[in-house]
Amino acid sequence: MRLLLFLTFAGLSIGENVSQSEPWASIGPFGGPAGYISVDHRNPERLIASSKNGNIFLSQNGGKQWTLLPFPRISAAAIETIKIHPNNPHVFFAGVADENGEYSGLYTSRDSGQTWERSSEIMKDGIFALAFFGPDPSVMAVGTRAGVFLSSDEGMNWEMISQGGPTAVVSLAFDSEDVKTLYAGTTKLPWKTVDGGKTWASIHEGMLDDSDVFSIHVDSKNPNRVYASACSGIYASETKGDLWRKAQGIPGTDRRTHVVTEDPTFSQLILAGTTAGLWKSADAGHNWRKLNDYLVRSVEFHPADGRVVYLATQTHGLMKSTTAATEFYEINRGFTGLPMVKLLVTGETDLIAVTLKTNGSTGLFQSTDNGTNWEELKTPFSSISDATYHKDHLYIRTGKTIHRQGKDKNWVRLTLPGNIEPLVMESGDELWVGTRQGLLYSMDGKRWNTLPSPDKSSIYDVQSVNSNLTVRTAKSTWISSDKGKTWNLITLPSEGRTFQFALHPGNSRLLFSTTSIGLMKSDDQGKTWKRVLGGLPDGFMYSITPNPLRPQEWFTTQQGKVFHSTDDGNTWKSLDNAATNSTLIKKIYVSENQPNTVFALTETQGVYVRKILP
Amino acid sequence: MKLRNIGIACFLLAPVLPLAAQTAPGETTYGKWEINAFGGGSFFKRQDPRPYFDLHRGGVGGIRVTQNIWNYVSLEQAVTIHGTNNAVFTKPNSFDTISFGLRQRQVSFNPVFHFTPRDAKIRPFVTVGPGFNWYVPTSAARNAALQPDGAGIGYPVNLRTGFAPMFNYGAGIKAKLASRVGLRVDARGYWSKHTTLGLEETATAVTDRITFTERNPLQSLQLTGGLTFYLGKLTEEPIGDFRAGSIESSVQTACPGDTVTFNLPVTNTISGVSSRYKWTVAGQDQTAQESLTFKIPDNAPAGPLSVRAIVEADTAQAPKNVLKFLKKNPLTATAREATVTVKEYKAPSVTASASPTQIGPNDTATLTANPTTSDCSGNVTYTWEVDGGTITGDGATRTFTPSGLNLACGTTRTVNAKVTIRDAKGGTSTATVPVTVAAAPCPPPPPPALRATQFDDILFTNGGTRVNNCGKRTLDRAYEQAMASGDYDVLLVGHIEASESKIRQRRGAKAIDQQRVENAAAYLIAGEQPCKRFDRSRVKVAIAGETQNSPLRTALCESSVLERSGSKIRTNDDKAKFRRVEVWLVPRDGKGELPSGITGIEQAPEVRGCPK
Repeated sequence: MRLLLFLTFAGLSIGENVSQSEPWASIGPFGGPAGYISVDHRNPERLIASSKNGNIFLSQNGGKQWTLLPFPRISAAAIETIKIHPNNPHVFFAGVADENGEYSGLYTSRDSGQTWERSSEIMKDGIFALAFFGPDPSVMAVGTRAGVFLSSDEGMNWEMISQGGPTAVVSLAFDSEDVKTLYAGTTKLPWKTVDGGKTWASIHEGMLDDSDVFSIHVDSKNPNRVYASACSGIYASETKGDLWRKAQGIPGTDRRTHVVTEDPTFSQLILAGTTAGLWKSADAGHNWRKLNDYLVRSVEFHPADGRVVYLATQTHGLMKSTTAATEFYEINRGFTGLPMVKLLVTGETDLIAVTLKTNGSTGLFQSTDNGTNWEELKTPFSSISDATYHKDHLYIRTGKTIHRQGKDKNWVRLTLPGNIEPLVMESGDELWVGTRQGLLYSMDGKRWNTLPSPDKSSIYDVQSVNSNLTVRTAKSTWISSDKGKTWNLITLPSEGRTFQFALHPGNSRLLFSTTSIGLMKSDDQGKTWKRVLGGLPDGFMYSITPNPLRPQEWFTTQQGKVFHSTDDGNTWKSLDNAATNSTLIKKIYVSENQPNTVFALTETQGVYVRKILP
Repeated sequence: MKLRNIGIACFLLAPVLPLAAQTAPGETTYGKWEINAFGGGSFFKRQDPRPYFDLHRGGVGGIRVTQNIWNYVSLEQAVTIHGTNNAVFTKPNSFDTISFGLRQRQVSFNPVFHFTPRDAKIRPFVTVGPGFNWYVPTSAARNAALQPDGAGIGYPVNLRTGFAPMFNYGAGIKAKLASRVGLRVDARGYWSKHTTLGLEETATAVTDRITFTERNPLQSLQLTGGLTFYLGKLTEEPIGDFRAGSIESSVQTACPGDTVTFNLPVTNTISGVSSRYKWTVAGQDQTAQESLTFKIPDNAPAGPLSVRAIVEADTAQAPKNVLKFLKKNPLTATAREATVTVKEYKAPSVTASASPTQIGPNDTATLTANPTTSDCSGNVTYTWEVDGGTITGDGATRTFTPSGLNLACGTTRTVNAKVTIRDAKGGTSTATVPVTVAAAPCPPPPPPALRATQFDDILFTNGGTRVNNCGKRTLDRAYEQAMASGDYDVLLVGHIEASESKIRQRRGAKAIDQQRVENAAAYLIAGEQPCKRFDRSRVKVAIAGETQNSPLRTALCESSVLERSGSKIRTNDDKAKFRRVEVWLVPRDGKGELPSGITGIEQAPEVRGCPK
C-alpha cells in the first residue's frame, strides 16, 4: 500500500557527452522571497532553506553560500515547511501543498537532499506543519488539510491520529516532556490531545474566535507555557493551552504572525515573525519590541548561541544576525528565489535581468560584470511585464504603458499612438511593439509608425531577425521581409503544442519550432515541417535560439538540458547540464555582444551562464 | 710349420668355442688355482749343419701351476722335466753320429690368454712366456766325454751343464671334467739360446772333431696332456637374477574416481621362472600381474592410499638345473609397498556477480561466475542462461547484452542470469545474478499549458461579508503563487447561499456576493497591513449569486465559519459551503482557458482601504 516515488535527478541526464568548456554557472540574481529555514542542530553552520518558487538550498557555512539541492520540480505547489532532523542531519523533510494534490505530500531525503522520496500515505493532503518530539525526535507529526499524522520511526510510516478532531492543521507542537500531548493549530483555533491522538479538544479559551493559528510553540523548559501566533495576535498560556492570554505590547492588530519561537539558550526570549516585521520579547511574551520591518516567514535560532538568528523573509530573502537579532544582513549568495522574466545582454559584460516585482524587489537588476555582482535598479513601477534594450535605452512595459530609461537614468513614459495597449516589445533595427491592433515601430521611441496586424488580431510575439520580421498573432504566425509591408503566412507544426519558434539569421526560409513532441524544422518557410532527431532526446523541446553571429550554431532545450548544434540543427550534442537539470530553461540567450557566451534563463533558478568555443 | 698350423687352428676355433663352452647357469665354476700334471713328448728341430747336432725326441713331464687372476687371463708357472733328450752329433764329413745322454729341465713363467671365461667348460687358450732351459749331460755322458776322443767327439770334453734363457709359446685347450678335475692339452714351441755343453768352437768344421762353428738357437715342440686339478674356493654360477623393483605409480596424488596404474617391474633372467603377483590396495585384494590399474572409489576418503604387491617366482616351467639351484638357493617372495595420496573431492559451488548491476538498454554488463572447487574438481565448464537479452563470450566471464527487451521508457526489468558450472567429476552448482535493465527515463512532460487552478473557498458566516483569517490564508496562497509566476491573474467569484437572498440589505448597499468579492479583492490590492499590494490589473472578479457551477472546496476553511459550542465546534451548518468566494489562478491575457461556467469576469474595482 505504500507507493513510493523515488525522485533522483542526478541520474536523469541523457547523453551527457559534451564538455566544450566550463560547465554552467549560476549567476543569479540572488535573493527573492524565502519560505523556511532550518538549522542542523549538530552542525549549526549547516542550514537548509526554501524559496517561495519551490527550491531548497543547502549551506555548509552559516549561509555564506547556498547550493541548490535537486528537489523535485513542484510547479505551482508551495513548500510549506522544511526541517533537518534533529538527530540525523542527513535526513531532510519538506512539506508541500498544492491545490490539486498533484505535488502535495511529505518529501523526505535521507542523503542530505540528493534524492527525495514522496510519502504515499500522506501525499494527497497538503502538508502545512511538521514537529518533532524533543526528547525523542524519531517521533514526529505533520499537519495536513485532513488532520494530524504521527510517525514513530523517523517518518518511515504514518498513522492518522486526528479522527474526529482537528482538520486543516497548519501548525503543530509537541509537549516538551510528554509525547502523548500534542498541540495542533488549525485555520480556526488550536486543538490539543493528551492521549496521543485518541481524543482531541479545542483549546480556545481566551483566544479570539477567528484565529488562524500560524504557529504553536511549547516552552522547552516549562511545558506548561505554550505560545500560539495567529492573525489575531500572539497568545501565551501558562496552563498547557487551557487558558490563553493575548500578548500585550504589540500595537495594532493588522498583522499576521507567521511564527513565534524561543531562544533555546534563554527561553524567556521570544521572537515573533509577522507581516509587520520581527518582534522580540525578553520576558516570555509580556512585553514586545519591534526589531525591523522584514516580512518574516520563518525564524531559526542557533541551537547553542542565541546571538545567531536566521530569518526567511519574503522581502529580503535569507537573513542572519549575530547580534541577538538587533541587526540582520542578507545571506543570499546562491539563493535564487526571484521569478525570472527576461534577460537582456546589453554589452560585452553588461546584463539586465528582469524578474517579477516582489515585495522586496523592484524586479530589475543590472550587472556590469556578466552576473558576478548585481545591482537592483530602483523603478517607480508597481509591476514589470516586459523589457527590451534598444540603442542604449532600456524600455520597460508595465501593463498598459512603456517607459524608457536613458543614460541619465531617468524614466520617461512613452506616448503610444492612440494610447493603445502594448502587448509585447522587440528590439531590432527598430523598436517594435505588438498591440491588439497591430504593430508599432520606432527608431527612438518618440516617433512611431503603425502597421496593421496581418490578420487583424492581437500580436503577442515579435521577432526581428536582420531584415526579416515575424509576428505571432492570436490567430497565426507571419513573416515579412519588407518591414511589414507584405506578409507571408507561416504554418507552424500541426503536431503537438508549439512553444517557441526561431528564424534562421541567414536564411529566411529556414525555421525551427519547438513543440511538445520535439524540435521541428522547416526548409520552406513553414510550408512543411519535419521533426529533427540527430541526437536530440525524445519528448518536448522548449527553447530554440540561434547564435546571431554564427548562423549555423543553434541551441535548444528540454526541461533543464541544453543541446547544441553547429550544422544548422542537423546534429545535436548535449552540453554538460548537471547544474541546470532540475529546472525549466525558459529561454537561451546568445547575443551579438557576447557570441561565445550562452545564458540560460530558468523558471526558478535565475540565470546560468557558460562559454561555448566557436 | 707345425707350430704355425696349430696357432691358426686355435685362432679359427676361438670365436665358436665360447658358445659351445658356456657354463650352464647353476653349475660350479673353477677354483682360482689350477695344478696341471702333464706328460708328453718333446720334438727338437735339427741343428743342421754346424755341427750336426740333434736332440732326441723324448718324453717330458711336469707340473704347471696356474693362477686365474682374471676371467680370461691366468698366470702360469711350469716346471718341465724332459726324459731322454739325448744329444746326437753328426761327425763332420761323415754320416757317423755320436750320442750321449742329455737331460733337459725347463722352467717357464707364462701368462695364459683364454678364449672363454673362467667358468667355461672348454677353455682354449694361447700363451707365451719366458723361461730357462737347463741342458744337463748325464753322468755317463760326462764320463765318456772325458775319454781321449771324447767318445767320438774327437777330443776329450768336460761336458758342462748348459743354461740358456728360453722363450716358449703355444696353445691348448682346457676341458672341465668335474668341479675340481679337468683335462688339458698343450702344444708348445720353445726357442732357447744355443748351448755348447763344453764342446769346442771352431771357425770351420774340423774333420773328426765335433766342434761348433755356429751357435744357432734351439727350437723344439712339446705336445703334452695332463690332468688339471682346481684348487681354491669354488664359486657356483648363478642361474640368473630374479629381483623385484619398486612399485611405480602413474601418479603420486589422485582423486576419487581417478584411475591409477601401478607397475612393479621384476628383473628375471632365470630360465623357466616367471613372476607371480599378489596386489592389495587399501587391504583389498586385486587381480593383476606386473601392472595394476585401479580406480579409486568415488567415496574414497582423503588421505594416503596404501598399495602393496607381493612378487613370487613361479618355477613350474623351470629346467632341472634351475630347480636344483633353487633348491639350494630358494627365491623368497618379495613385498613392495607404495602410497598414493587421495585428495579430497568437494562438490563445486558457484556465486555469480554482475558489473554493473544496473545498465541501460544500450549498455552491457560483465557477468562473472566465481566457482569454488577442490583439487579434484578438474576443469570446470560454465553454462549461462538468461531469461532476457543475450550472453556472449566464453568461460567464467561473459558479457550480457539486453537486446530484444524492448523496455518502455522509464521502466526497468530485472533479468536473471543463471550460471551452471560442472566439474570434471560431474559435480554441478548453479547461481543466479540479477541484472536490472533500466530503460531510458521518459522524457519530461512538457510544461503544462496554462490552466486555471482553484484554491480553497473563502467561506462566510450567514449574511456576512468579512473575509475571515482562513480566507485570508487562502488569498495569501493565491497571491504568492501569482507573484511567483507572471502568467496568472487571480480570479474571485462571489456566491451567496439561497437563503441569503432574503436578507434585507440597507438601501444602496451592494449585494452580499459582490461585497464578499470586493472584500476579498481588497485584501489582495489594498496595500495596507495586513492586505497585499497586488497589481489590481491582475485581480479579476465575477458575481455568481446562488449559482454554484464550480466545485466546492471547503477543506481548509469549512470549520472556520462554524460557531463554537462549549469546547466543541458545531458542525451542523451544512449551508456554509455555499456562502463562498471562489479563488482561482487563471491564465493571463487569454494565454489559457478560463474555468468554465464563470461569466461576467471583470477587473477588480478600486478599493478603499484594507477591510477588517
